[in-house]
Amino acid sequence: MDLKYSAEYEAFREEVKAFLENNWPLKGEEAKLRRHQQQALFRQRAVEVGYLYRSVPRQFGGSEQPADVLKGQIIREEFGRVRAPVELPGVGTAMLVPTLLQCGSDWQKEYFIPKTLSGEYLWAQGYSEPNAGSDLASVKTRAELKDGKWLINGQKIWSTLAQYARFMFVMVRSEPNAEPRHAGLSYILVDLKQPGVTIRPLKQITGGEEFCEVFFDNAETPEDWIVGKPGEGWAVSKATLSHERSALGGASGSVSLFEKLVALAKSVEINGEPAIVDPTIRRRLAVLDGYVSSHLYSSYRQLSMSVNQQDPGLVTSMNKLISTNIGHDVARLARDLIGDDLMLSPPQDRKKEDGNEKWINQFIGSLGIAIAGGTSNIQRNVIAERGLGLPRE
Amino acid sequence: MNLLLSDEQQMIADAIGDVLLQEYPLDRLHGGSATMAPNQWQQIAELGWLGLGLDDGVGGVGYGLAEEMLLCRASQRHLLSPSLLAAILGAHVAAVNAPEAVAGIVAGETTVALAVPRKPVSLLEDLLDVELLLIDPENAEYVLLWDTEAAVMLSASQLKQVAVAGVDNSIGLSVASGSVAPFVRATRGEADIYARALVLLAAMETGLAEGVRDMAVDYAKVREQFGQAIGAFQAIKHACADMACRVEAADCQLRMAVVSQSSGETDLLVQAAAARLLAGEAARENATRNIQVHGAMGYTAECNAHWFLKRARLLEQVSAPPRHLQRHVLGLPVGRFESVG
Repeated sequence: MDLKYSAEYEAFREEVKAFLENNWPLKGEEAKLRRHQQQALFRQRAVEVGYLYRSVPRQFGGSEQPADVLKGQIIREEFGRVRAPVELPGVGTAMLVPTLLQCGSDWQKEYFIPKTLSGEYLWAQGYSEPNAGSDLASVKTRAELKDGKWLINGQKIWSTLAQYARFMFVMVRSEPNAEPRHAGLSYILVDLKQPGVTIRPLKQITGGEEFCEVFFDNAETPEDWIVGKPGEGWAVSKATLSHERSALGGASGSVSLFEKLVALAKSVEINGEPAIVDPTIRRRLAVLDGYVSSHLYSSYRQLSMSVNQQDPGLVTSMNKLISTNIGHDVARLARDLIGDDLMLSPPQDRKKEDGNEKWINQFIGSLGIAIAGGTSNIQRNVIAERGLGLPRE
Repeated sequence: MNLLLSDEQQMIADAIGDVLLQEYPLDRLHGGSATMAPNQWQQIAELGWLGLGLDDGVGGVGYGLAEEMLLCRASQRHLLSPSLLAAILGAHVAAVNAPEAVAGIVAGETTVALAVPRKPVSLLEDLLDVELLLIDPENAEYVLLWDTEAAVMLSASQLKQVAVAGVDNSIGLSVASGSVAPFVRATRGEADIYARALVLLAAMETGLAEGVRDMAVDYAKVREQFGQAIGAFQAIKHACADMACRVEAADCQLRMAVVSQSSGETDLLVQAAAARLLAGEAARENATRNIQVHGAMGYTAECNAHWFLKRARLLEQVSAPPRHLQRHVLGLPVGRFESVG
């Protein structure tokens, strides 16, 4: 066990640093471009030298580098240090692109991947339904093949930012009589800008509108917009979900969240003294600090396992649960620290001058994290069944 | 960067696990005790366990803290006497200023007991006025205690001892008092026993939490209610999953503490204190949940679940109190006799 990188990797780190030194922030005339244009320009250069979209072939807009998790980690660390733009967030780059690379046809890759990476094509996820949440195999949305087109009818829900998306990858039931249930599912791509699609944003308890209901009423999609074969949707989606799990488990978010909490504990007072020296607050902070730091090291362990070609599967699930619990604990502690600021309405758009009431969003938001991307209770099922070998219910 | 065990470390861990599995079944505690007999000390001494992390130049095996960590972690899956830790640390203390005593400890011939001060004492004084709780003191020649500044071993024969009943009835407990000059002392500059002890206690607590997790999972697979194994019910399997997560968190932090010691990082104390906080919580919580998983049987003396809870409570009291650990982690100063909190 050791924490050092070998000389080869330290040399790579120097390369990355030198690149960033020269390329971010942009200089001269380019620094006057609009922010998103600057980011796009930088991303393009970072792809050229092989730092972003490393697993995507050059022909589809990636940088086509050999898989190397340590290099990936170094790039994340160094880009993060100078706040340089990283790969575009969202389900398009994080879920659809890896899935197409693994299961898509050649034309699908050519047609969808480059514009998804550039941000031109935004995607929504169409998995959950009102009666199919954690139990994804009970999806009811129907897709029937008629005159060379899929005809889609049904309803999806919890589609993040679908109101802004151009396309959706949708889990549909195409083989209604197949047994077991998941053998009747297919994974198809749908253009959301058509008359048969209605999108209705759902207002959340935070006041924001981040996810939507999506209704399909004889919506259409071409026959060859299916990924994999009819009935293979379950396997195709599994490839996608594991990408999401690893993306959500990131530990650096926990670290920066905790740092903000410590700053809060130093700034508010209890009995005329900074809250951080109050024994009860100190106890809770210290235990939480321990969890945050072990979460970071658990991600190092995942990394070590990947480097050594071991499957970190279960560690990933445990990490998600630990990180969700950290979010809850941070929120609870912040709530106890901010006192009557809790009575204020949480701000809708982040601004520098926001007061302590911004913690209310953390509090309410942490309730959602326990549900998104596989609920905490489903994670516990996975850990207990696949990890500890306990029987299924 | 690598947080995985080396092949050699894995082999050591496996070898230790095999011996413990064969020689120290939990059922030995029924009508028996965790106090080790002279031949048991001799056996583990022959395996090199008591000098595992001690330099070979002073009579040890020449591995490091990582290997001691593996031993301590495994030891509490089988609830070995905490005197194992006393021997390991005692050998380090002796190596500094009483090298003639090392051989006896490493050979398992001289036993050492852990001591917990019942009233504040500065370990830097020439004459120590002590009132101590001695853990598993039977046959112990020396008792070991330490604080942030120093570690000392006292001759047990110079202390007045009265046996008392302890919560962990797998081992004995006594109240000891006296005004004595230490047999040997190592200051922080000579050997960082405080940090080493934090790491190894965290290892013991992590191992205990791990053992409890496995006990709960094994039971949940075989005990049936409503026509199926109770592990199928979410109320049980989620409790088991949470146990696994506590172990994972404690284990990661523990490895980190070991790595920061071996690479000479300055934040060793912070890492070690954090490891101990998480490990202590994992041990106590898992041991408590395990009793619930076992239902009414878990509340009986016949079931082994209670030994783990009692041992967790005992270990919690050894070395730095939680409020000190919290201060280390948050970078707040620790008053030596601080009583607040």
